[in-house]
Amino acid sequence: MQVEMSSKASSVSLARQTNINQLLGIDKKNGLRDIDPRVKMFITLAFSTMLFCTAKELTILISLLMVFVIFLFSGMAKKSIKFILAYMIIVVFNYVIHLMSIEALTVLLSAITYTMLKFIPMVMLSYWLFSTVKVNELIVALEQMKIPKSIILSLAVLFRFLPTVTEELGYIRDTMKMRNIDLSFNRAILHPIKTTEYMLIPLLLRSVKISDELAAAALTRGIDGENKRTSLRKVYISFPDILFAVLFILFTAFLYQFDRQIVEFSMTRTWL
Amino acid sequence: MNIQSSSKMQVKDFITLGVLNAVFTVLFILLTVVVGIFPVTGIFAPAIAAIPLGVIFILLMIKVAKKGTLLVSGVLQAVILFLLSGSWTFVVAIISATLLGELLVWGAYKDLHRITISYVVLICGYALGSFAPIVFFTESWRTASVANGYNASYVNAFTEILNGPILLGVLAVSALGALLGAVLGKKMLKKHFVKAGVISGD
Repeated sequence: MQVEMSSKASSVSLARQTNINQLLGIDKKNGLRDIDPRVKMFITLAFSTMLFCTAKELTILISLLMVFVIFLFSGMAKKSIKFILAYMIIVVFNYVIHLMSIEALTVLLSAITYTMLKFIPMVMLSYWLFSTVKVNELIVALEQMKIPKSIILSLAVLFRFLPTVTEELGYIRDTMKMRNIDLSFNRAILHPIKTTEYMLIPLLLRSVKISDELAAAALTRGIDGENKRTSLRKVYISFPDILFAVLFILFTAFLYQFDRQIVEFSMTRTWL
Repeated sequence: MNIQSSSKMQVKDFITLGVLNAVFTVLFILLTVVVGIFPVTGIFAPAIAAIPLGVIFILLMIKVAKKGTLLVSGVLQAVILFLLSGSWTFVVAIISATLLGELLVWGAYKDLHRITISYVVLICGYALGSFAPIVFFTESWRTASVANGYNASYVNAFTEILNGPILLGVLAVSALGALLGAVLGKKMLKKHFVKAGVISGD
């Protein structure tokens, strides 16, 4: 049935492969997409902490390339194009600002562009995390870590729902356009409360409805059962996962050290 | 299935918490990114974000209204913000704020006054989490930021704007924003959610 479903959805061959593997009970992992959710969360944490603590422009570039490699090995190269384009546009914009060399403008805008540059690799890796983690695997993995059920279930729903929120916001905007409700920036400034009400109330009503439906669906599938949860696919940290995590952490640590080296270098240069 | 006392959270409540906290966090991030473009408006980002977020917070507290609502929400928000930004101060500030808030609403989970106070505490936690490192570790923050490639005059502008007394002012403004948000939330609760049958009107 799963094979039929996946072919119907005409999804990419990768996803189909995964489904067939699941059906046959083979735990073959498909590139970086299928590493253990715990490993994924761990490396995301290490990576964003590193970028938060450091990041010269060169470091940002290297970490962007690093994340790009992860995307490549997860079969998501197409999805990374948007991020890389954004990065390139900001770099060009930054360059133009520096060419204009108006003091006040440079100070203000370069800080903004820098922050955006710095956040692109972080957001990209978080996107990878949120879009590749499968909710049932996350639940099993967290249960193995003996985290309280309240946190596990809410966190799993939260992960699943984050992309939906932005989707729903888009639907609401479309509906407002259809009904000729002004959505311009001016109106948002002039009538902040009205705008908030128009956007927020439908969003919340939709969300509450979805959460009720989700709860019904989950209860039907016996999520509140006392028995231990099973998973068709084995959830475990395999040797390649550990290898990948260690390599990634080593590279992150190296980048951190590398970043400090450049700082010292440039500081001595200014002293001279 | 065993019938549990309604004071304990059920699966339905966990799912509601997950969904509404997702909405809360996404809107918080969107609003702070938009407001935080300039340093001067950036210090008021938590205060401004608090106004629309108040609606979500009040709905969440009234809809679930059980022990642990606030603490679980705090943990969820802290996890997402930490994964996105890697800032430890956020985690500490939000979790301690929600612990304090949990004590404040203890036993009276539908009391709107107490919910308002706990919301003020939470938003102050957000403000502290964002700005405390700048105020209390000014020098190390300054050198770190300049070393990280931020423009020196921008960093100086930030440290000049923000200092001890100003932080108190920022906290006061954030608290005011949270109060406004709670008032808006209560209004919306009566106007829409009770009418739509999302929550019971008692």
